Amino acid sequence: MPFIELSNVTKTFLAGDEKYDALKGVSLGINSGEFVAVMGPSGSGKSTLLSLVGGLSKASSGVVAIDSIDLGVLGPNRLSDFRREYLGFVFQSFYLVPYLTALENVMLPLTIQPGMNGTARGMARDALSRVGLDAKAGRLPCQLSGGEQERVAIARAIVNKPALILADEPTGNLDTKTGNRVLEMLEGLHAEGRTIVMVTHSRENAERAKRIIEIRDGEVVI
Amino acid sequence: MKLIDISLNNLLRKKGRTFFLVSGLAIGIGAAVAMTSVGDAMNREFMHALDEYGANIFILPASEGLPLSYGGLTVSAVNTGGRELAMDDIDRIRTIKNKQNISTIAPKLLVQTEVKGEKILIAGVDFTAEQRLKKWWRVKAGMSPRGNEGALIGNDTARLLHLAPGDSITLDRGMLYVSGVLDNTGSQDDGLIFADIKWLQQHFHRGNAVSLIELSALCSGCPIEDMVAQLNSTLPGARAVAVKETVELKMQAMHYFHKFSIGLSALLLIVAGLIIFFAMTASVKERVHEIGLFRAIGFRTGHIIQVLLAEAFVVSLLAGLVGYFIGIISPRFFAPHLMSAYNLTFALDPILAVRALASSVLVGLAASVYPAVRAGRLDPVEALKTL
Repeated sequence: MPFIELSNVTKTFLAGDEKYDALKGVSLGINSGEFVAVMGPSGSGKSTLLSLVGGLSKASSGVVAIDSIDLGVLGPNRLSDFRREYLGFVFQSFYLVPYLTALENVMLPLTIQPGMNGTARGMARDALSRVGLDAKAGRLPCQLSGGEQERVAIARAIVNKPALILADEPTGNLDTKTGNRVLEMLEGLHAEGRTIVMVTHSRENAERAKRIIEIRDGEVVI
Repeated sequence: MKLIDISLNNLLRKKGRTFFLVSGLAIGIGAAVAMTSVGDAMNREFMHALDEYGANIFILPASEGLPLSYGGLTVSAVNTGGRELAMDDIDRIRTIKNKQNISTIAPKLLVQTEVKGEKILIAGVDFTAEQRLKKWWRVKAGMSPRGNEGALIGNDTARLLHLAPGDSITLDRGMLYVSGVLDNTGSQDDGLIFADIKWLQQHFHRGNAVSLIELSALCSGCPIEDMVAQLNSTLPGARAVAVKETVELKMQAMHYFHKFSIGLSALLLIVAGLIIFFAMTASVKERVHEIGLFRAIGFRTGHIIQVLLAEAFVVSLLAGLVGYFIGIISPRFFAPHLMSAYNLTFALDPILAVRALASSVLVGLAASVYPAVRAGRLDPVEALKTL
């Protein structure tokens, strides 16, 4: 059974009085340990797909299951728990908390994890070391470059050792060289056995993944 | 790192916003504390003044005889030789348990006589005590008596007998001189002649006798009934009576003052609460991405509410402390200038401090609940916008 499974999933949005389907009857499976790129033009539904897989929104119809857990039956708090245990997010805009240091930003997912007394700081330092930023642990986000902020975001995404990493246009705000470094990190995480789903509109970035899923007008074409 | 660390970090890094929030609530708390302090001080001063403004206990002989009215009370056996009070009773009054609550003791000897063919009541008084008791007395013509042969004439009596300052009053036992005429009081005093009590006792051969004693007690500190009981116990053969209307008037005045103070303080706290509410609502809007991130990484609704309410708690606690000190220090500066007519004294009140802190925290948290709950329920996709 695939680690991530979407069965005939539709997501409908309301725009005023009109409805439109961001995803139309999408069915796909992603196995554990795969590095998959979801590619498509703007408005194709790729970000919507990511939000469904990440449990941030619910499908209008169909089933979204991660590790055999049907996300559609979970309430808001259970979904939060699910995200905390299974997922790490990397956003295009980094979304670092501006008043927390790099170390504190990385520690965030562990703040609400039970049984983390005394170990959270060490785990966060390890994650920052992985991305080469342990020397800048005490810096605020405004004191870091764009590439460094994205690396802190990656460190935050992996600190709780999630099984699944979801990256939404992780190189979107970065220059080519820095973007390459970020993609190399994702490849490194994949090599450790993590499942990675990366949304991108760049063919070049998509080809760094092992499989590409193309979406157009809410439907999977490849 | 705990959730409270997120709250504290936000407050510490956004010093301007924190200062604004603390100031807004502190000013409200400070104004409420100042209002309460000034209200309490004014209340004490007011009650002290009220307590000294007229008698609230009458001491009468407990004997039977011809009724004679004074101030609506029946004064017994004025001229029929019944048991009367004596000047020595004044010393005994000063030995009661609550003697420190006695403000003024004003003895009176009431003598009925004839002046210019009219039946007149002469009240022998201790003019110093009497004028302290009856602060509403105004001498409209002449002056207060200096020697013990001087007399003050009530307004109606002066008109009836055509008396003016400098006139002499021939009595069958002696002669008095009109020292002054009282302005209209609207009371029985308008129909009396007031003379020195010792002169009256001597000229009417009344020895040490006193018809009644008016007492002004400071009833803020003890129930008037206790003092009445003590007086009755100390003076057997006398009857001490509380003037209930006076007491109730004083208690009513105190009650209204208190209600006004509470009402205004509550209004100030509501305004402060509104400041916090709008500031927290604006803060949630400003931090919508941050809240979306918290939800994305696994924060439950309750965690987000905790973070925001913890911020509100810290701000409120600080504001309560700052506000309390503003509230107790500022009256000491402005009261002597703005309220120079009152002799206000202020005391440190630990209970007021606790109330200020508790009110501040309550107002801050109550004003933050709605924005915090709304933040906790934000749609993470909407909040993050990129997904």
